[in-house]
Amino acid sequence: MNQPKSDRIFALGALILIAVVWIVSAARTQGDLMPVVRATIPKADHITKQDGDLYAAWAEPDEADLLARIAIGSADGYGGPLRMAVAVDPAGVVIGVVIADDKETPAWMGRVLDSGLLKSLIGKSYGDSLILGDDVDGVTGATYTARAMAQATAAGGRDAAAAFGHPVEEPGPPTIVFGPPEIVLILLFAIGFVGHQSRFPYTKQLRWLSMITGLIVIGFLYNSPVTIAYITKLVLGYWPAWQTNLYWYFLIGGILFVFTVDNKNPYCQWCCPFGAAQDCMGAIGGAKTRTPVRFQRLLIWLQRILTLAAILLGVWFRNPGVASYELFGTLFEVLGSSVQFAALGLVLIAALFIKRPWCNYLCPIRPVTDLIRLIRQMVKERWQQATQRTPAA
Amino acid sequence: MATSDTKNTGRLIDWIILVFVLIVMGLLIADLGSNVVETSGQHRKLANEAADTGASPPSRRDSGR
Repeated sequence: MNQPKSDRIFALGALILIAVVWIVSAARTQGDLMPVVRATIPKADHITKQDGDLYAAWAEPDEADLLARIAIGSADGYGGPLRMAVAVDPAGVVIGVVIADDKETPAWMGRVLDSGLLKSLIGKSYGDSLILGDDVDGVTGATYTARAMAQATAAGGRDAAAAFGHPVEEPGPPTIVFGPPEIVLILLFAIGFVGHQSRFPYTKQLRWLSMITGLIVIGFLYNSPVTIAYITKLVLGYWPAWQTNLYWYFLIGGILFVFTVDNKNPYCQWCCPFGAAQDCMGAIGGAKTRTPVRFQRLLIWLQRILTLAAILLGVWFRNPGVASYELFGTLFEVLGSSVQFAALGLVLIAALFIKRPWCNYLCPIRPVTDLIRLIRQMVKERWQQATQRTPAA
Repeated sequence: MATSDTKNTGRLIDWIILVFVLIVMGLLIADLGSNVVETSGQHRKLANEAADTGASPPSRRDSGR
């Protein structure tokens, strides 16, 4: 199927715009860390910068009494690297922690801050592993952010303690996290692959099985559907450690791989939990596929422009979390603003009568998959042209 | 007659879908806007939190980047 010329021009323009914003935002100077470092230890007379991301907090102007060393620790959060300023006293005890930089969704960050996690890190020793659920309490529904905060604090604590001369054991490679969500995701992709086969007689039943499993596991249990933040993270080059983020790699890698090879979407119609929720509503209300002929192009363009705006914001702030406007957390975690709950209510009511209103008119994943299809087609055309021009040997 | 009714119903549904999309999109844009405001205000928030914990403002003797 040939896309209209306007689609190609928009796709090219969008890619150029994202590249320009990427370059401009990358060139912006990093913020001054000193106010953050200062906030970790309010009673210090003054603070001096030492090597790299290491600072010293002094009790007196003459620098005779060293109160603490402060180091900046980093770990992978939900949206990208999360940095913590960690103050450690001469005994190796954490006496202050402040978030230096994060790429998290504001609502989730607020949830972690409200949980008192930061306060619970005070008093820990540099040698503590700070593992969620072990020596630090986890935060329900914001595991990635909470884990990153604890890990970044542990890393900063080790660096600061090492500067005091404490014997510090460097942690080994991260433990590979491979559990139920990863297994379920692989199974769902496998089910989708089987279901896509034209000869398979039970496609409809298999699709429902896949959707309901996705709704329960990817949605309500783990709240890990594909969001625009995942795509923005990819654009920004925030590649998290594979050992602890296999799910992310399976999800994004799997979708891109199947699209590239097979030109089929293995996710949206087969395991997207929000799509499944709309399908369930549709089954209750007898929803039908409704194509608003008069406004079809307008609606497609509105969806694309909203998606592009979200990606540009995420890239501009270098924070994928900012770009997320989906209502997934609002449904699966019952977390969100009144505005989000109002939007969710409208979408679910509409889903009673119209098949998948969110997916068709609002979801940012659809314009992204359209773009992948378009690029794939353009590359294929160029390839065919090139091979036709080359005379056979 | 029946064809005309079907056409009118079709037009009405088109308009309902458009209004629905515009309302939800407006709400989503408002939410995106609040995310942006929160992110841009992050430094202010940090400064406020520092004040809440009794942190003193950066000293003139503080040196760093």
